[in-house]
Amino acid sequence: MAVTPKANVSTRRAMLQTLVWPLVRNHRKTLFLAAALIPLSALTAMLVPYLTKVALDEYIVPAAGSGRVEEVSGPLGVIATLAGLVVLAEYVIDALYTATLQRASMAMLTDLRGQVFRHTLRLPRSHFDRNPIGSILTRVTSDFEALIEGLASGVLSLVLDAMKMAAYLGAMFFLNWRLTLLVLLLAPVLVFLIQYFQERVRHWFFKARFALSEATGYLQECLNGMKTVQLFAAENLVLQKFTEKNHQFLHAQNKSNWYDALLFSLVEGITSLALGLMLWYAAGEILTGLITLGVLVAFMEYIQKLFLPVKEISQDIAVLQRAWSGLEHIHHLMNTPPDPAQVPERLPASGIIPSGGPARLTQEPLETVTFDNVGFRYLPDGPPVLSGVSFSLRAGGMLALVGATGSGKSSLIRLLTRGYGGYTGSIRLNDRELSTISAQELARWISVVHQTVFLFKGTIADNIALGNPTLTRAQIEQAARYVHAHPFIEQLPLGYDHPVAPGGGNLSAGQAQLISFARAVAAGAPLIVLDEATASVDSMTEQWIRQGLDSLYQGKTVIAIAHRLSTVRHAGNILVMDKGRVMESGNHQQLLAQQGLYAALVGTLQQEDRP
Amino acid sequence: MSRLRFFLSLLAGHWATYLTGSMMLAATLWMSLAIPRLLQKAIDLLGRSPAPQGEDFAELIGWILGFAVIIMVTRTFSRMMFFTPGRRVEFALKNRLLKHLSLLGTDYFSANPTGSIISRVNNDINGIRMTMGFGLLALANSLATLSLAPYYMYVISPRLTLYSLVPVAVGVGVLLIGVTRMRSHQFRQMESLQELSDFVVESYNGIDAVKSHQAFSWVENRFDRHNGDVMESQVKIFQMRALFMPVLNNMVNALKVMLVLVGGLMVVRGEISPGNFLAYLLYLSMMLPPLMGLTFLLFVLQRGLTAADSILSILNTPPAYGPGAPQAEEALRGSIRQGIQVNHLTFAYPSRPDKPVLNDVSLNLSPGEIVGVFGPVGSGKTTLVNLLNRYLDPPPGTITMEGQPLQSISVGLWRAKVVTVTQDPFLFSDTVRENIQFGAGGEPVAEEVMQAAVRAAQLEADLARFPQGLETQVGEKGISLSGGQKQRIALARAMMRPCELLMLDDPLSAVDHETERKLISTIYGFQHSRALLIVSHRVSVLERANRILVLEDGRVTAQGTHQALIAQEGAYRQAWRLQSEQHPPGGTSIAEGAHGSHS
Repeated sequence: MAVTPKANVSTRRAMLQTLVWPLVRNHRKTLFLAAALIPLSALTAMLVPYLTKVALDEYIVPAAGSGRVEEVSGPLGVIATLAGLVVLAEYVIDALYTATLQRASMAMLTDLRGQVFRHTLRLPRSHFDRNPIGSILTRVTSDFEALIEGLASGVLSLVLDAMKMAAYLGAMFFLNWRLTLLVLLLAPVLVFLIQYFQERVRHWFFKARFALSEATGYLQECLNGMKTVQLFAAENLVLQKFTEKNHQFLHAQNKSNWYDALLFSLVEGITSLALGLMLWYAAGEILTGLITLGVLVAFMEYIQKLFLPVKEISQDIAVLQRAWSGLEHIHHLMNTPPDPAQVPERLPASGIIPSGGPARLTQEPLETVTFDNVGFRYLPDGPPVLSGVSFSLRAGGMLALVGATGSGKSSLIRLLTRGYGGYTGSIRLNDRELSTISAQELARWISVVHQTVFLFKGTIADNIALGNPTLTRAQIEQAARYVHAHPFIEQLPLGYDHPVAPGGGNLSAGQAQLISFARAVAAGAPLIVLDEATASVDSMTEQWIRQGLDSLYQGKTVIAIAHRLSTVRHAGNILVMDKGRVMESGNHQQLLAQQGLYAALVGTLQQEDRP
Repeated sequence: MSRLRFFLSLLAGHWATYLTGSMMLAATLWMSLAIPRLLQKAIDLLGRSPAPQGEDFAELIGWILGFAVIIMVTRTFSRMMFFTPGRRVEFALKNRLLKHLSLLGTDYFSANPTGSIISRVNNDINGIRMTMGFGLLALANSLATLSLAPYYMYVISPRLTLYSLVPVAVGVGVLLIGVTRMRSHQFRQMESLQELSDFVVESYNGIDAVKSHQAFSWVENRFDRHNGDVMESQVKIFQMRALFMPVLNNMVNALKVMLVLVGGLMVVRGEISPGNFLAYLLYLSMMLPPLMGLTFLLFVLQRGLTAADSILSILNTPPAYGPGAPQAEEALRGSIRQGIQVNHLTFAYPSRPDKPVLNDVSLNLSPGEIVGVFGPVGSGKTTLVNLLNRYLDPPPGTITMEGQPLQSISVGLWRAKVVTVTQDPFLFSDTVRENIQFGAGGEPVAEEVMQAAVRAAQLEADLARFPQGLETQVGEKGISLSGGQKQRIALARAMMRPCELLMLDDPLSAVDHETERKLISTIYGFQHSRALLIVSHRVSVLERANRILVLEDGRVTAQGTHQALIAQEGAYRQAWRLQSEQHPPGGTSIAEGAHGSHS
């Protein structure tokens, strides 16, 4: 867990203006209602001890032991009825206040969470490379829990507690200002002690949180790598490391508990001290009639109520600080510029699919794809991953990329699909420079089939129509037939409505591949960019996949990272890449004849087991 | 193990602490309950018509102040004596869980995803910890206060106490109903939050698909639905809380109102003194925290019980492997001579019992022997490796070491003797050194051994480029490695410990040809008295093996030396032709390259 640096004043202002204020404005009515209830709540909380005082001083004590019940019972009944009504009102107001404000804060957070999620979806690829998904997820879930806590209990009770304290103090001053000052003498001590101990609690609490996340991270690794752990009989080694990390958590947590226990006891003890001191001081004044028993009783009630909020306010502040740091994380995330290509653009309202099947989306037909002396580095001062790459592909043609791991094939594909920006040289679709084409537009030209297919939880039809929710069932089926995915889908119990488990867990790798082909066709782009899968599949599926690929090669313009011999055989042009450069190019026969790098690489391609 | 025995086993070793804590708590409660009585005496002393004796009064005040100070100390210790064992139980239980998990087999981990195990280890153990710490404290505190305070109240006035207990019972009842109803909402809320976070993870994992198909609206609509569910369930809880939580506080306030009327009249009648009135008021206030604690306790206990079930479901899963038989293990002491035998091994995965992946495979792995396994994708090569290293459980009697059946040898001993380099090696996000050293399973590793392994795995050049050499962090918190680098680190890892059988399951798939040549030569040279099993579909890797098995559809279709196999028609020869046709210099150059790198 990185310690967040304290945001400076201007970021704080920006944060409030861009994040908090719009949310507050949208829910201002509810918030206003809640705010209006606060003084009422404080007033009711203050009234009962006061009414008790009146009852004691005016009626009970003067008549104590006198047996004049008839005389006193009337007024006491009135006071008790009043006090009873106050208690009832207090309950209603508190419940109403809490319910309204918490509903408003939840609604605000739900809005904000939606904004954050939408933003993260549009972050550049590089953001996901640098930040593990777990930590981005934390932004969307845990930080929000801290925020909910901060808004719902932090701000809420902070304001209410402060109001109540003011009301108690007001009543106390009204009853006896000298006694109030005496009690207030203890306040600085109390505040100082609470501040100090709570700071220690927080310090160790954060240490504990850090230790816990370290231990959990390690545990997660151990579980993910359990096979390796077991195969190397390293169970004791990992257990020992885990125990160490756990121990750090235990240590920090124990420290935090000590200070917490001390804090708890101090507040309790000081309340009793205050009662004793007050009585000591009051003794003389009671005798001289300056302080009545009723005042003393009211003070005891007020002191108990007064010191509790002091501790709670300090806790509320801690909660608020946590919420604030959650907000800072979120602000930081929201300020990460989105992928410039992903900034949303309104889609045509009239649906995306013109009649006549899933094939045509772009107004302008794709004619050529051109790379002209393209270079690229992931980091400005990093090594070049591509340099001097040039080729040109005409519509309907097929280009295969061949090369060892790290030769730049995937980077080339990522540039073309705008997974990354910032290339040098020129990449053009027809005569338009790639960097001027928005992602929405690009999606109508290019469909990507990734090496590992990602299937979402939903039906098969949902997954095929991913980019295009307006597709009809007939169009989905047409796309599936096109890539020979239809036969296997039809065999599933629910056909196109077959539910796909998250990540596609209930389908084979081959079936997932076929769905991804159908998805690419359904999207209707003329250019298919294909990163061939290397997964091993059974021979039946293998045959389907080959048929599916053949249809793609024949009907579409294709750029493929080739892992199969059959793919390179199809390709009109093969680029042989090494260390980011194009070393050789030509078709299969020409390149084999050259007896160069290509001839050496062919052995790494997947051969068909049964030609 | 039953829940009761489970909790008792957790308590073991902490009895003394809990007992001391309880004594501290008793002292604290006795003193804090004494304070109202002292106040009462002081007040009544002041009210008496001849002026009070100054010394009596000062003594009372002294006691109050003294108690207040002592309470701070005893209260602190009483809390710690309950919290600390809770934390220690948490600590021990976490270690116990990982220890037990490391004994479980593949079946368990494929049925239980990492995420759900982690949430058990963190959240459920939290539930246990709260029961053992806060829960027990709240129990002791509530029981003591709620029996003592009413007793003192009863001493002051039986009638008033009777009047107060009725509303208390009603209030607690209402609150219990609320807490029970809230629990179902809480469950729903956790569920919806889990669904949301699962969905977010899914979306991020599929972010490439979302972007390249511009499927934003598809994803966003689903997110909004989940997000709305979370909000609705959370708001329900907030509403319940707003409705039920203030009940106790307001009930105590209502009692005070009652005291003004009933108690006030009793003072007027002379049945109780004004001091008693005040003490009674304080006792009423003192009952509030334990009453709240009681409802909290219910929640904690409930959570502790479900957590215990969840944790027991892990601890009660029997370990995947039984212990070894001592005589059998005795036979393996020292280095082995007969090696490992595979006898008529037929194996099918439980999910497809009708489709054997290996069919009547027999194989001898003698010390010093190099055996190659060749076969196309899906021919059962990796399954054979996973059976030999006991990642999968072979049928009894099919695999023996030194004549001792595999099942009679403890899995720890077996795996100390059989080391595997897998296709897709797993690295920890730790330093390169720690990752290599991992292969020694915690045994100390001499620096020469480490350096030799680094050299043998062709890692020297890579390490020179890493910012801190062997100490460079890899993985999530460090640099990312290429597939080839990972494979070579895994190779070095396998050289950390002497073993009887080293298995390389296609370990060079992501390594370039040049490095592959060098690696093959070192691997062949590195092998001494142990047996070596190399699995590959690349002929160039297997050429120099003593014996090569050709595996097709789970059957051994041919075996012999490279020369013998290329002399006969079959899959091996076909692959050799194809692969050497594409490597014009042919196998000889690889052999030369290997010799070259030796010098």
